[in-house]
Amino acid sequence: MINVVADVGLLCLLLTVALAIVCTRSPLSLVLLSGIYSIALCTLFVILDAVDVAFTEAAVGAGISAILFFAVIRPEDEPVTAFSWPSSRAILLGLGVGVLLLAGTLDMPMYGDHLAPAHQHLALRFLGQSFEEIGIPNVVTSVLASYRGYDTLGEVVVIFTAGVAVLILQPDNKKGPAKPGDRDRFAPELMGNPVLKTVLLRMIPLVVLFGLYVQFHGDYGPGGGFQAGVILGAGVITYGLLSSATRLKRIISDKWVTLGMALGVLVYGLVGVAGLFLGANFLDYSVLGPTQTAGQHLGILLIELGVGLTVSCTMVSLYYCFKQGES
Amino acid sequence: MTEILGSLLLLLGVLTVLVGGVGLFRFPDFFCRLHSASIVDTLGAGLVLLGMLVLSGSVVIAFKVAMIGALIFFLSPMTAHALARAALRSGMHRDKPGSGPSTGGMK
Repeated sequence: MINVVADVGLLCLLLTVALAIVCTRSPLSLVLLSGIYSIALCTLFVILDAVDVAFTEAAVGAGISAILFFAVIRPEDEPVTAFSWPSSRAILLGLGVGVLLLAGTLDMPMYGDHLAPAHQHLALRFLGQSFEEIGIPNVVTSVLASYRGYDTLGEVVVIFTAGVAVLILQPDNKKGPAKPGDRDRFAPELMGNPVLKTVLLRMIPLVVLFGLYVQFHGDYGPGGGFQAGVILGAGVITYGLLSSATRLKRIISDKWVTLGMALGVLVYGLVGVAGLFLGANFLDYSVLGPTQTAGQHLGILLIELGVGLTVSCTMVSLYYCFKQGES
Repeated sequence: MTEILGSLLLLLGVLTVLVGGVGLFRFPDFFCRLHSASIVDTLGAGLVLLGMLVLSGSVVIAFKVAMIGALIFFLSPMTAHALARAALRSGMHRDKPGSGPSTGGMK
């Protein structure tokens, strides 16, 4: 009962925020509203017991992506009228696509239906036998890292490719001096705020510690490389926000960050190849240790490390790219 | 005994959140509303977490709840401070007429 009330409330909030996003003309409001949307969505994920997804949504959706947007919007772009309805053609198109999507959901199984195709076939085996086969309590990690290790390798490569694409597309600012207007577009005093600085600087070690906990506790509870990567990335970026990207670069140079992006994918791939050399299939960790479960444990630990490295370095690298103009 | 204490704390927290929520809608300008909103996420959330701490019944969960509580205890007042400072810096003053929250901090 209470879950239904919370679901309906959160979905109404999502709808309201989405409507506000459609109607707003101000980039600043847009970024803030997207953050609110992400937090509401994150709460919904927690209610659906998808804590892993909620972690990522909170860190990326409400945290890092908002920071990246703030780095590129300017106060000059703020319009005089902050809200206005979109054109009637856009509304018609949106309504049309919405009706089609609603029609599409009619064929889907009901929410929580135990006879749904997704809950038949392999799901039963994953839930029933994964503890014997993999030996770790968190089935999500078993499926993600072992049964579907190949898909996860693909996901890591996608994140790596996206990071590389942004690195290629970034303007080369080394040729000319940075424009003075580029620095601290919104509220420079906020960054020099002593209260913010005092509190947040002491929070960064805690965030990093929490990131490591999520990384290494992923076998037993919600978490893993992706979540730990974004949390670690957010912690590092917080330091950049409090001082400046340049000072952060002096601690963690962009060369190391780029190297870390590639190294994570390399670690993941090498674990797969190690399986091949030991006489099993690509990404079959069972042969890595003396027993099947020991091998699985080692393999999952190593590939999660690779995932965490790539994800965190990509996040920091994106931040560096978007903060190029700042000197 | 712990159940009564925990429930009382939870109830007190919920009441605080309710009062803060009413204040958020009823207060006239941005700073008053911020005052009310910061009560929700500092005292309200703190009391609810304290109630959960009492009711948790396991040391591990109690420790985690205490950690969340400590984070909120430091971060929520800081957020309110940052918001108030940003509003003040972007030219919003209490005594100025028409500086309601609907205009936001942006000019």
